[in-house]
Amino acid sequence: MWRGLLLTMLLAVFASAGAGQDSDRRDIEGKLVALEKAGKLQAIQLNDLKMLNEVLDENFILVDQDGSLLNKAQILAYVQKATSMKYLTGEMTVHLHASTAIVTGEYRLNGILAGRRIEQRGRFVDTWIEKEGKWLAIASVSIPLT
Amino acid sequence: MVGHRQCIDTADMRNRGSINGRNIMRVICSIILLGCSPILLLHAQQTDVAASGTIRSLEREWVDAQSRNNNRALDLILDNSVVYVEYGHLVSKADYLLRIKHQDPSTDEIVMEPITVRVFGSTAIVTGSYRETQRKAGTHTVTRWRFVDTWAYKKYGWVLIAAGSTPVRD
Repeated sequence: MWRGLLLTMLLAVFASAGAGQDSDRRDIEGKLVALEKAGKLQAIQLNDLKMLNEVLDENFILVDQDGSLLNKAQILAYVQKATSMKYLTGEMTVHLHASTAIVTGEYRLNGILAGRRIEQRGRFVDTWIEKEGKWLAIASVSIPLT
Repeated sequence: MVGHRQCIDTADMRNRGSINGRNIMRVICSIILLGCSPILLLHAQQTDVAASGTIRSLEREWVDAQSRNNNRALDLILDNSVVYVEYGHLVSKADYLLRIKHQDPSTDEIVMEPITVRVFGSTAIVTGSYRETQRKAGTHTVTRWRFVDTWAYKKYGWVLIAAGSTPVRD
């Protein structure tokens, strides 16, 4: 009887630990999706450079749809020059690897940059890391959909 | 780490010591911290250099394994949940391995160009470019790609967790 009770208690402890981990995971995933939305949607559509500056690591790099390589300063300058930009994302998937996360999804971007009309449709793959309790984007690649 | 630990231990002792003892402990603690900081920094830099070297080798191994249809090597390089975007499509590890298994190596040639590795603790970002020559029905097309690969340090070493390439428009 005692053995049965002990086993039940152990199972309950493991189940609650597992449920806790799942809940933590979901929290982080939700946080990253929110950061993606805030960092990109808000930053690009509202030219919110402060927000973008906060979510991008100092060593952040981006490979854009045309194959160009941009660093953080170049991205901030790019967003600053953009006018009436619209950025839409579809469903995002988050893959967590301890303190590293990969977020991927499809996007649509259109607007005007330095008097030139821009229209993009593609897939992004973003890498985030947790640094001192804060999630920061360290790399991104935008790939045209074929 | 050692310096930090020593400092905590010293702080505990400090509460029980005299004023002189407190000062001595403070000096010792400062010396340990000052002495250890450059060592720790150097150690971190050396670790990053070593990680960077390992990842460069893995990048070469990946290209080599792909050109030789070596699925066993590819299986070790790619994490099971790798996010891999190939020719604009998101493919699973199983799909990628299946494609490589049936691919004629003579139809696809990849020449790597210089790469950059940035190490962020247990995560590394590789950026670079490569030229891909595809041969089909007597013709060949050359495409230059720029890529971002993400590696993570796990239980058995570095594994590829994400990769995406985009064609370079000249």
